[in-house]
Amino acid sequence: MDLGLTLGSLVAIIVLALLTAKLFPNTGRLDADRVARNIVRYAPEAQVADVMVDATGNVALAALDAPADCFGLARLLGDRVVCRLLTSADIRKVYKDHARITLVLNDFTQPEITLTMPAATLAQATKLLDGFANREEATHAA
Amino acid sequence: MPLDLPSPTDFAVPAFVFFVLVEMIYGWKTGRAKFEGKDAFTSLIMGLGSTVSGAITVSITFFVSYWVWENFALFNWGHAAWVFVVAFVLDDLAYYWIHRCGHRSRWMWAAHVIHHSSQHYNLTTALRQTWTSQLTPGALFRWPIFILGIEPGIVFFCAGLNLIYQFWIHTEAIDRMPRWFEAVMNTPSHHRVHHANNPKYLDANYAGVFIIWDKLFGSFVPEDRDEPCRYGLVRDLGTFNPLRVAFHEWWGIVTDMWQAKGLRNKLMFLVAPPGWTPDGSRKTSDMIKAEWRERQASTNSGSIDSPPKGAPQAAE
Ligand SMILES: [Zn+2]
Ligand SMILES: [Zn+2]
Repeated sequence: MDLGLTLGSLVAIIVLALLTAKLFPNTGRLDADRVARNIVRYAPEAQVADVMVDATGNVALAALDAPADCFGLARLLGDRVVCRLLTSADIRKVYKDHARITLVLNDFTQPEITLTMPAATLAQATKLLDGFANREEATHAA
Repeated sequence: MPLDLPSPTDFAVPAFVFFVLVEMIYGWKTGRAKFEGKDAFTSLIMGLGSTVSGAITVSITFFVSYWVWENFALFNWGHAAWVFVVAFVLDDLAYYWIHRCGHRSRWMWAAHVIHHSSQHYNLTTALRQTWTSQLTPGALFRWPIFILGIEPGIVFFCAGLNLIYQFWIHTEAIDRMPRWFEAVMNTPSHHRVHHANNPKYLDANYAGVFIIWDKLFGSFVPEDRDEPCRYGLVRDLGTFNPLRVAFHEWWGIVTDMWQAKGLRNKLMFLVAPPGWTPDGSRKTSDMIKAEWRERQASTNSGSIDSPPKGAPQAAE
């Protein structure tokens, strides 16, 4: 492997990635059904009670009837959905302000997730999260 | 004096780029191959990083391999063409076991998981390769070939050809190859199963070139048209960042070993199957498959009405 081949490969990678983004644009968003389907795909034992999708359509929280002591998180990564069932042990901090919730997670591949929400959904999400992160809650500095 | 053979993968790079482009345009025209920009970028960067990390450690790999061969070889096989054929087959057998252990022991999985971390399955996925295989005991699996007496340079040349063969099977654009070919060779259909995270398909089809190893060692699962493959990990990554992709499982091992109580548990976090925990709080692939079998049995016996409602079969 010489330097020319490495640099040539790098240029080819950038061109191919840009072309891919152009030919296969991401237009999908999360909705309640898609979130519920994916949470059940990820954890077949899960029973989804309620879904709260954020305003961008990229992140959603799911209240669960089962299993106990956890809630669902679904996130759009590119055009695919990444799911987690989270317990209080998975949450390091929760920051809130009037329009956003930021979750700081014990997750090396997604350490921080921000949900932007209208007031009503925000209240609902806050209520859900309070059950899991009450003691570690902090006020958003911004 | 070691045999001076070229690295086949270096020569194949332009062909890799060309065929990715062909598959991309085919997918765009027909919808029979799916891509995503950031996913493709990450896969290709992982491929480039893998060649760089390989280049950095190639001298030590060669030095150790030649040391084993020079000191412990039982026979002298020479450099005849038939030796290359035997080496190719033996290397493919070694690859099968490296790959199988790569899925069954977290130490080796920490390196191999990168190749499975895309939720897409296209020719860029073939190039999503590890940067850290040198940190695993994988190299030991080729030592028996050196001890048999085949020169390491020949084995590494064959390993390069093996890797090139595996490029074209990372596609959804090819449904099935002719029956005789599917029976003997690894194909897109067999390898789709290997990349799928459907419980039915976990830990199957480890073959590199010859699928006969899976049939021989009981790990073969054919692709089922009623069970479309869904690609990725049982716990998919939440990032496209190449550094986080490359090191996430190593980080997981270090933190788990750090927090584990007792030497046995610390060691088990390294060598036990991915998902192992002392209290069973996470799931191994065996546990996921057992739960799936239980659900299938309940569904078939009518004790539950139907499978979980709305669970997607294919990717979405
Ligand atoms: Zn694999
Ligand atoms: Zn593969």
